[in-house]
Amino acid sequence: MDKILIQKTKTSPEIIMDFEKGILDIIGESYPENAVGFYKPVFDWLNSVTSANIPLTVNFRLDYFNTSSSKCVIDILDILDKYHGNSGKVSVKWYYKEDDDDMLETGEEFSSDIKVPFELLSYS
Amino acid sequence: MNESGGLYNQYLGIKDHKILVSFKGAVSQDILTEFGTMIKSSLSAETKTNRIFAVFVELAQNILHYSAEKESNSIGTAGVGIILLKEKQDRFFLSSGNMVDNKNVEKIKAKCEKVNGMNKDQLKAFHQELIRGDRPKDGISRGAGLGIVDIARKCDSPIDCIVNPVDDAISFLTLSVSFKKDNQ
Repeated sequence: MDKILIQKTKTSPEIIMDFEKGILDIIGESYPENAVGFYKPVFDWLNSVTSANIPLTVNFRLDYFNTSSSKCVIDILDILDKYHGNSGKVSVKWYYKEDDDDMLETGEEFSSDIKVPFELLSYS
Repeated sequence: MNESGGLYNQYLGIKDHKILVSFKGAVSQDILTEFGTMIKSSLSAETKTNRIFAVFVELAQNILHYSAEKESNSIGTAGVGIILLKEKQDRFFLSSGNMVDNKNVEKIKAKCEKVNGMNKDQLKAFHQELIRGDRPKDGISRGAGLGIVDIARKCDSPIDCIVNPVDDAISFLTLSVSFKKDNQ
């Protein structure tokens, strides 16, 4: 399967889904008009990756997301947590700008209820 | 109103503060994106910018999705409402107003009262509970029903919720919050 790239827009992040390498990147800002519709390809892709038992790395590098996007991020994390619980290999990296305490706190909150390996990483 | 009287009286009334955003009309995704970009650039020196921007997006998308007054054009349908962002000496004030169906008024008021009575930790726990729960099936929330809680966590005031009854079917709902400036 080819690498799938969704270009970023002013209100939606860049998304890279690399089946061969088992990498999902979500980068930028997320407040599309319809978050559930926007993230549908990501859920479809995760579904096929987890079915194929591929080791997975998921990188979140988000500067901002609205509440309907936050629900989608939680849904993605829940899928990864379930995959991890079924012995799937998966790790999550949560990047936040070094002075962005809110995004750090969000990462801490989002990882508090799940068991999947989850790293908080600052960048400048 | 005397349309030919110029803007002088209006100017005098707001002489001591700034109006950063003043909009009334259909709040499309494009419009809210443009205002959002403008807010970020005009407040770039403030540490609260990201929070003000985030609350602006929630309020504007509320109007876009849930206003009981809609306007359609070739691009799509968007809710009609009014948004104001003012800067005074010590605070920023952000308000939104739009028509809502009367059957939803009590639910919205109750939610505001509930979050206004919560402290920081209670809001965090309530947020966690909602985000982990199913999407609400109350017929009024398209997202996760999280907007009001998120606004309460980001602003520095209670959420002021004022309802003006219009007729048997609809009311006008105003939501107002404020943000302390850095040096306050």
